[in-house]
Amino acid sequence: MSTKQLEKKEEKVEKRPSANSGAGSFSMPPVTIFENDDCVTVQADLPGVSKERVSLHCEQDTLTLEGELSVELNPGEETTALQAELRTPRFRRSFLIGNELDTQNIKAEMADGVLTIRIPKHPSARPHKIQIS
Amino acid sequence: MLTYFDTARGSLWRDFERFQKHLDLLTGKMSGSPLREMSPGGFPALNVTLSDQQVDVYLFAPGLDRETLDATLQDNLLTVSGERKLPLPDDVQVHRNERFQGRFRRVLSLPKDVTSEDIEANYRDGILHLKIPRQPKPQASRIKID
Repeated sequence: MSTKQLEKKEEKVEKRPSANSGAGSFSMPPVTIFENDDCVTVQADLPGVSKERVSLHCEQDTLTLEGELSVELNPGEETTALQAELRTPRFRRSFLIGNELDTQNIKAEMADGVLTIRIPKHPSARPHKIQIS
Repeated sequence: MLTYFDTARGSLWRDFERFQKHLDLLTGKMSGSPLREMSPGGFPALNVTLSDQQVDVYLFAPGLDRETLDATLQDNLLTVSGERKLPLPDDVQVHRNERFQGRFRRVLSLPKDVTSEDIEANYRDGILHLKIPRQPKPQASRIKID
């Protein structure tokens, strides 16, 4: 499976983005995905999610990222909401990972609410010159 | 929802307006976008909560270039602007690019009793949080009746 199929397949795997906030509803963070010869990089917008509140796990061929806001979205009793464009405190998104990606060596970092995931490719999957004798 | 279209009571147009207002409330559009606002694609998302003491403004904007961040309060009009460049390395193949990049500006009308003194603002974990105090309401004075 090529990494191009990443985007087509993920639509079937991930949950539908939710419009209202209820227990167990998530919103899908927008991502940037690009690749070069060495690895595939995924960057996701997770505003208000600190490093401790991000979870990234890989199960078989599915990579799932999840995060929870550290800011209380619902106002307390003495506050009223004038505007509430972000309503769900939880983010989640899943991706199907092709065989050529080395999921054991995924590196991830979190800075300013942006999660950057680097998935290296197996050495055999990288472009390499073939010697002709 | 069908109760909105009660033509027996009055003009159908008024009912449509109420229906639209209800939809706006449901989808979170509580007030129309100010004319001066430039918020393409709805970035960044804005949450505002109000208490007697202060107004809390949250802008959900990960990965901003801090030097481009600008927030000003003129009377009760709050303007926040900034830029997110999101540079991509050369010679990569891009599969998806959903994240907003470029300049944004959001404008907000706050309650008239906000004060520009002691405003706290910080940008952490991708959230710009502004805490704007409100002038305390004068105590009601009791009137003595002879």
